[in-house]
Amino acid sequence: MAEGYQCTGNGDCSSSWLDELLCEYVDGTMDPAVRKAFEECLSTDPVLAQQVERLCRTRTLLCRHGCQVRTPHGLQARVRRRLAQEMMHPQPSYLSQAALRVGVYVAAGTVIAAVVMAGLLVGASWLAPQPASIADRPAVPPTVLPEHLGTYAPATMTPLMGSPPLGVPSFIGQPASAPLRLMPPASPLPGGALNSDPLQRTSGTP
Amino acid sequence: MSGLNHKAKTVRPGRITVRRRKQRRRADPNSHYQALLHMCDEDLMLQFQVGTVEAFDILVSRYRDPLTNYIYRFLGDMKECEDLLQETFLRVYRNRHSYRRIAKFSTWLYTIAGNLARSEYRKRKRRRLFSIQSVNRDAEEYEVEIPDETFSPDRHTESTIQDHYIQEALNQIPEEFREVVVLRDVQQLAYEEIAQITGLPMGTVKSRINRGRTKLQVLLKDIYLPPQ
Repeated sequence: MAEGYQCTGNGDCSSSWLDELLCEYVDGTMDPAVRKAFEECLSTDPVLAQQVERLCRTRTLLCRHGCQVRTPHGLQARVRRRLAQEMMHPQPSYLSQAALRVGVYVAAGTVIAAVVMAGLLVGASWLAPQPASIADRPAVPPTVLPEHLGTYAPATMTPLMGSPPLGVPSFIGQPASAPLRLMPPASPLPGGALNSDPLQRTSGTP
Repeated sequence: MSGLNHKAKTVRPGRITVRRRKQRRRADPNSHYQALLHMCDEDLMLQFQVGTVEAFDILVSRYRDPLTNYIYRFLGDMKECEDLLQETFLRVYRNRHSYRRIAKFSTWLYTIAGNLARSEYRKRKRRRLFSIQSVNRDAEEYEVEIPDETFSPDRHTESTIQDHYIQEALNQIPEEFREVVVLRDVQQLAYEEIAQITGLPMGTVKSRINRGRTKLQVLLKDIYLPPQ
């Protein structure tokens, strides 16, 4: 059969209509009008005609020799024996099977619900807001400082007016080479005149 | 006295009816079985659903040969074939109440057998794949003793030779083609019935039958030659 018509592969074949026609023709189930037209087509195509002949012989062979297998001896007796065994040990009734099935579903549902709840709890504990560390605090917008401080003051330096962060000495932020400038005491100056501008006070001007 | 008379009147007709019933029962078995033998499959199934176990026996004896051919041609192994045959009939027995007369009994039966055969075939394929993988996994060499199953034609009759070659050829074609070819050419079922059993559209059934035959004719070309 190497020559002539061949079907390509197992999947969808472009000549599936031809397959159907050939099947019907070989089986003799084709409509008489279609059969006549198909036979005319076969007379003009010798390759297809040979193919059809081989298909017919294959079918005849299968019909003649395919159904010659006989049932193993004593099959019916064995079936009866198995049925008798089954009747001796009857299977659980539909009701008990259904109850068992419902029980299994309920147990599975409970387990799934427990797993989901545990997952939710773990997720919630992870996503809960935690106290932010110093580094995570938002940066204070840069303060416009006078010229004499501008070169030393980093953009995120705590303004002198504000209190330093907890546990941080007030001189942090000043360059090492610069003279140490301590914050003035919070109490008013002995001179009596309360100067409200802390920069004036730190600048050393009288 | 009047009470005794009353008893005598009521008992006599009862005795007569009992005798008649006994006579019917004695006459029943053969005629009833004969009646069952002439019933169609669907009527037998109805009888079986009502509780007549003889109907099941008749159905088994009617279908054991066709089913043997179907399962054996599909699987190619007689031992597995017998197991599946038993299982098929057991399933018919167990699920007798789920059968509805809207379907032909043979379609229902072949569907059960086909499902069993298909799942068995896939199991077997998986087993083979697993065993090959497990052998390949180890680097050591094995000496496997393979039984000599070569066919010796001189020991067999012509019919057996052809039977053997047909089975060999059927084993070599894909499962989806084999099933429909066996149902059509070996079991002589109609396209509609094959479509119902396999759950395929009619067009697919026809094209698969033709493709299966096309593959088979290559494998069976030696049988066509006239004997020398």
